[in-house]
Amino acid sequence: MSLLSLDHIRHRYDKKSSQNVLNNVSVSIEQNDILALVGESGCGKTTLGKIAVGLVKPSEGVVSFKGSDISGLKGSGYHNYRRGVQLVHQDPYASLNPTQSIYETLSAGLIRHKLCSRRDRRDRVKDFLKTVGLDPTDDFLHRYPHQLSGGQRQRVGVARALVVQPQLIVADEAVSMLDVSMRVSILDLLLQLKEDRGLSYLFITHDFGVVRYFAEGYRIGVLYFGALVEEGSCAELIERPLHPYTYTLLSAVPIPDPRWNRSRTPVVLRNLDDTAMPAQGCPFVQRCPFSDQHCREETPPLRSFDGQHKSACFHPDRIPSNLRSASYAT
Amino acid sequence: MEDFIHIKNLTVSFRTARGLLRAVDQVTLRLRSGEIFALVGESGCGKSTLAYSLLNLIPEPGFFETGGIVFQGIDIVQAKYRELRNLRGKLISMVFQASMNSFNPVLRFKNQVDHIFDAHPEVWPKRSEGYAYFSELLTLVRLSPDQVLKSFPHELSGGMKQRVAIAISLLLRPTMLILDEPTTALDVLNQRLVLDILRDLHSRLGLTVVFVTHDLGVVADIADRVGVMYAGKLVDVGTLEQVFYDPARHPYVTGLLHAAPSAFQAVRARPIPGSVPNLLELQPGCRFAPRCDLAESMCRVSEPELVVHSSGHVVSCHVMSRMEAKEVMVQ
Ligand SMILES: Nc1ncnc2c1ncn2[C@@H]1O[C@H](COP(=O)(O)OP(=O)(O)OP(=O)(O)O)[C@@H](O)[C@H]1O
Ligand SMILES: Nc1ncnc2c1ncn2[C@@H]1O[C@H](COP(=O)(O)OP(=O)(O)OP(=O)(O)O)[C@@H](O)[C@H]1O
Ligand SMILES: [Mg+2]
Ligand SMILES: [Mg+2]
Repeated sequence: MSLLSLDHIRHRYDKKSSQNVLNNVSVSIEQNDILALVGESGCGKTTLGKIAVGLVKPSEGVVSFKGSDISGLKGSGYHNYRRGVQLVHQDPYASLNPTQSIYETLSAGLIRHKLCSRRDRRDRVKDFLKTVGLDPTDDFLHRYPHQLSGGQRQRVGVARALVVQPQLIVADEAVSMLDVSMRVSILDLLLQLKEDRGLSYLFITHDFGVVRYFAEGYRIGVLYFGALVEEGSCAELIERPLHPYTYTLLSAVPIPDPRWNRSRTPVVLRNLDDTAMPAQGCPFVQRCPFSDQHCREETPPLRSFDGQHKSACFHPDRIPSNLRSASYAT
Repeated sequence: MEDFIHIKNLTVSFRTARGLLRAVDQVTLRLRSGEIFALVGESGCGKSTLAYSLLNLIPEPGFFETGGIVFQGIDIVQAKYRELRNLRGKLISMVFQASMNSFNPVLRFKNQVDHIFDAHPEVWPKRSEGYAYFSELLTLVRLSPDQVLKSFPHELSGGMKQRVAIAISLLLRPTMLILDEPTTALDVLNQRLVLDILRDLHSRLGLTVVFVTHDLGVVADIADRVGVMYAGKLVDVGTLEQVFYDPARHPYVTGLLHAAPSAFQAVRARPIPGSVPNLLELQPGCRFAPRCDLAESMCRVSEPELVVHSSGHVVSCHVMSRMEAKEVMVQ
């Protein structure tokens, strides 16, 4: 039984719209597990994350927490789910209430879920500040979001998710607004929390460097405008993508190695601005350099290649294998 | 190559309740005509402030404390209103950080540019020619003019809006374009597209480009030369080859290179310990010393100067310059 599973999720925000934001997506996350979701802007990552935490109700499909459909949960069952699955928001500047002090922000969850006595509250909040590498002082507790740096704000966002002792954290672009050096320390913090508490993550990003660092040894799912087109283990999927979309994304990643860049095959971007899906066939067909008649007529199903690695492509063999796992000098 | 802009001993400071904050501290730098120059460094190191200085656009309570910026015979720091009006947008143009989110939401893109034409009627005396050039620019940034001109901002994706912002910045035919983090908020595909377009615009229009970013992958992709800022100081200036491969580069650059997680590299990223110092509480010595693996006692006492290594690579580091035979002070 998975910790959280999303089955055959379809979603549209606007009933009249012709296109689903999510189109039959199924993913699941176990205990002490990581699933990273990648894909370009607008492909539905945040929507899937919001569905996972229960902030958006999917138009169709089932979300189950520890085997129970959350739409049927009531009372303590529902309470356990809402507490068990927490969101760390993309934008540390927008996600904290500017009128609440750090103490108010962090104690709210403790109060809402009645997790400790009023007497212990302050000490508990300080414990969590320490956990996320912040200064557990009264001075810090009484600060407001605008008095913190971006990295500090993001840590407060993580602490706010942690105070209710969740089992799964949906981290939506949790480090993309941060500097490189700050980025790795927040990722390390999240990984450490996974070690210490057996936490699981649904980790949303569009940065493959960050994914490789965070999800090594776990899975990546690739979303293309509502469709899950590839899923596989982190290293496999990055080194030998089986979907042309994943291949395109990876070929576009800028590499901090000018010499290597010069020898790289340039990526050809086709129809980037046209995000309307074809009426039939493979959703990626207008952009795909390897498509043929078959792809225009029939939608390739997500199917398994060597065990865990799944792709929704008729021709994974056409994808070049020139994404070297380079050990470049820097 | 000739000097295009000469920044001389420039200090830009902000008056704060706790004293003077020198966001750009005695920076000397020559930009060359037609190059793509990348300015990198962590958040708060002064990249945007230095970029704004080139247009004499320092926000209150900031001011030029020392130095000058020589461009086409004038000093931008001392320039009068008339000279600045001729400079901004017409000679040097800027795409601001997050400019893709600063369009007027109630105007179609065709009309987003009207105030620019109004402010500079001399550039496009016939409005119709101005619009025609805008359409041409939209094509260059790989958008469909017909579709974009009649759209409102909310009808375009973030990546498309960023490209419109770049097109608009070129409307008055500047010779130099400054872009502040133009790819930071974009996904990898839109980022790649913007990089390809910039390279294209650069060669077609003969632009000199200053590109502000904290992503060294982007730098490696687009830049000819690189300047690295740390805590208000320019600490390393060199060609791509020098900054990425010269073992005598500034240790901060090495730290930045190792800190970025990479998709294709087996080596695990390592953050630079500590953080950028508070510019109001600077300790004596090298500003990077508290975070530096190589720091020696001297580094905690005296602040290193920028020196030209024999390779031409410009670095301000006691340890690195000791290894260099020839040292020349940067003028
Ligand atoms: N509340 C909403 N109402 C209507 N449409 C929405 C809403 N939220 C998102 N959308 C649309 O749904 C699609 C998917 O959006 P979503 O935010 O899930 O994408 P994303 O993959 O997270 O993108 P990004 O990388 O830009 O954050 C987009 O077309 C978006 O415009
Ligand atoms: N209006 C202001 N008043 C006071 N200090 C300011 C002001 N604007 C900038 N600063 C300070 O000047 C320093 C440099 O800021 P700047 O915005 O140039 O950095 P940056 O390198 O562009 O950073 P980022 O990557 O975050 O954009 C910072 O310490 C900042 O806090
Ligand atoms: Mg999102
Ligand atoms: Mg900036």
